[in-house]
Amino acid sequence: MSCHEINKRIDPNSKYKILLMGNPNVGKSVVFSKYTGIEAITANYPGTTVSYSVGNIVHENEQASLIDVPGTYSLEVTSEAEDIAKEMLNSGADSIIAVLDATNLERNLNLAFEILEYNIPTVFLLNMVDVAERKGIMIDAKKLSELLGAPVIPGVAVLGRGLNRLLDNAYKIINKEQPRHIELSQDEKWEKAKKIANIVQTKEDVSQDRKKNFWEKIDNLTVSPWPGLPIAIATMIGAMGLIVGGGKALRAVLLLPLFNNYYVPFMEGLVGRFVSPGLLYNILVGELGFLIKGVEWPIALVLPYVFFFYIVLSFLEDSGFLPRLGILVDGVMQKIGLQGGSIIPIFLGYGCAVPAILGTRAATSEKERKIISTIVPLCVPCVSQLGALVVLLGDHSFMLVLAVLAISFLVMFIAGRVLDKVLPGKVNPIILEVPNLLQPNMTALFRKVRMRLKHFILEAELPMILAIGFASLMFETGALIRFGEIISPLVVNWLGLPQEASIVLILGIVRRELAVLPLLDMGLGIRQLLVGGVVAMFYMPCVAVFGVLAKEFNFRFALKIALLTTVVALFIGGIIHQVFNLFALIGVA
Amino acid sequence: MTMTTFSKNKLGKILSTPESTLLKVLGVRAGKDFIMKVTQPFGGPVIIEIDNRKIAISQVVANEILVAEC
Repeated sequence: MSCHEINKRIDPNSKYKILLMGNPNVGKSVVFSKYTGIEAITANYPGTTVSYSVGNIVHENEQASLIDVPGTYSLEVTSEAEDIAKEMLNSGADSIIAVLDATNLERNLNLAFEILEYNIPTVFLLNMVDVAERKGIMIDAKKLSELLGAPVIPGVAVLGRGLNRLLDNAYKIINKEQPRHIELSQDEKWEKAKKIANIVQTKEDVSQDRKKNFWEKIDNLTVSPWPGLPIAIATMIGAMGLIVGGGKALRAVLLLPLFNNYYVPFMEGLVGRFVSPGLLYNILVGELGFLIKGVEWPIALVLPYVFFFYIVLSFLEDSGFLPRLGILVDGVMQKIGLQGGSIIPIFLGYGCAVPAILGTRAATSEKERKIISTIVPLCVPCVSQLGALVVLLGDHSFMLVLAVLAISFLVMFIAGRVLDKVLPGKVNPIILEVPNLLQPNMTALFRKVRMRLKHFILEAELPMILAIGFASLMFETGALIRFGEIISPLVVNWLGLPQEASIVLILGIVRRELAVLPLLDMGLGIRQLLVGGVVAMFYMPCVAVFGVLAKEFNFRFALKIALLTTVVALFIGGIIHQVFNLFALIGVA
Repeated sequence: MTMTTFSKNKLGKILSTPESTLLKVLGVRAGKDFIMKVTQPFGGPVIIEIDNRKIAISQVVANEILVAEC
């Protein structure tokens, strides 16, 4: 859990508190990362930062805490993320760095006026002046500074341009007398924004002078049903092909040979030197030895798929493809009580449910938050679980993987419709800014993949080793057999799985892939694989997800989700087995 | 006429909008010019271009936005 959220505590050694504010998707998190060295997740769509983060900066030997506030179009609250922004302002600061998007000045000025009304010393970064110039927009920063009554520094955050001057100013203005800003009505603010934008900016039509690059050419095409939908479908198929194919190749060619030929003999030799064959030896390097499975499962089997998934996810995030997907599927999403923009947190759920649930803070209604936060833990497999399912099922037949995914989509559809009917309130219809389609910066993309992989390894490894250690102990002491006997009516009779499969119902609570991986060595038949895959797919959220559900909503809500997922998993798994049995009885199969 | 009935690729002017902070901050305000880009199928949103930005607006909301040709 901790790895998903960056530090939120203000260092007591900090002399000053500086807020970093601005509209969504204007580059605040880039500025934050450049100043603090903390790698915040950035993406090309509004609402990437839904929680605040704190980092330290030192300038001229004075330390300040820099707070990256969630992006907000206005201080009139429409989502929880905006509520956080307003709370941060109300709690006071020594200065504010407000980021303005030079390509869309008028709209950004409205928030600028709202911030200035708090009469906290403010400096503006006029960001993306390079993109504005390419679009033929020139802005007189000096004039803008005069009209706003605050310093305005032109710059390009991703290249670090203007950032030294900006920081210098953010310190200089602290405790300095500022012109008082009087409160204006919303309409007066928009009038003033329009007037100032007209004074300070000049626009040239450069559309004829410049050749469009590939991304600009397909920008418009990707928002039209034709060819937008076929492009979206092809992209998703390509993404899946890369994840499954790439993962399998990496696993087979590199990781498994390394593991089987070098790691296992080395570990067995090492342990054999100090421990004689017996209970302890088996717990360490035996059939379910945690020094063996604790490395084989997360690193040799699951990691290859996680690696390719993160490449795909980062590419889709940075290119601005995800909001486009949201627009194209909005009509379908409405059928399950959601709106197209909800596709972003749901898609993030295929990485991990924790950021997906946190991402729902950008949603504009409680009902939308609750629907997404229910269907993600229920029927969106996280990347580790997906990797494990591909290993378990894909090695027999890729159709099995597709079957499990198809069942998950069906359950998502039904769950969405039921929740839409049952939950009170309404989901606000889609109003969404579509960011420009951009070619992802490969350095930034691989930095993000590296950061996510690091989080995966750190988060997966310790709980995995502890859980496997526990399983190994149960296995070697015979406790697993006794437990299996107790729940045998459920596992053997209702689900049709072998008795030892009961272990997945315990381990699955720790991490979701552990509801899958123990089934690998049980020699399951194709029907059992389908049942096992389905049970694991819907089975309860892991401890980290349970924690975030309790924190974001309440403990009761988290408990309800745990209960719902368990019942759905066992019910659907059992039904599949019983249907197979029925077919066998009447001689169909 | 309403925004949903406005012709594709034509320049229009917004006459009035329903009360919505989100619409306002995205530039969808009375008096602003826009270009209608496309309407998504299955009841999906309309896509307009305003201030060089694409905005997706649900047809339910777009039905309440009154517009005129420029």
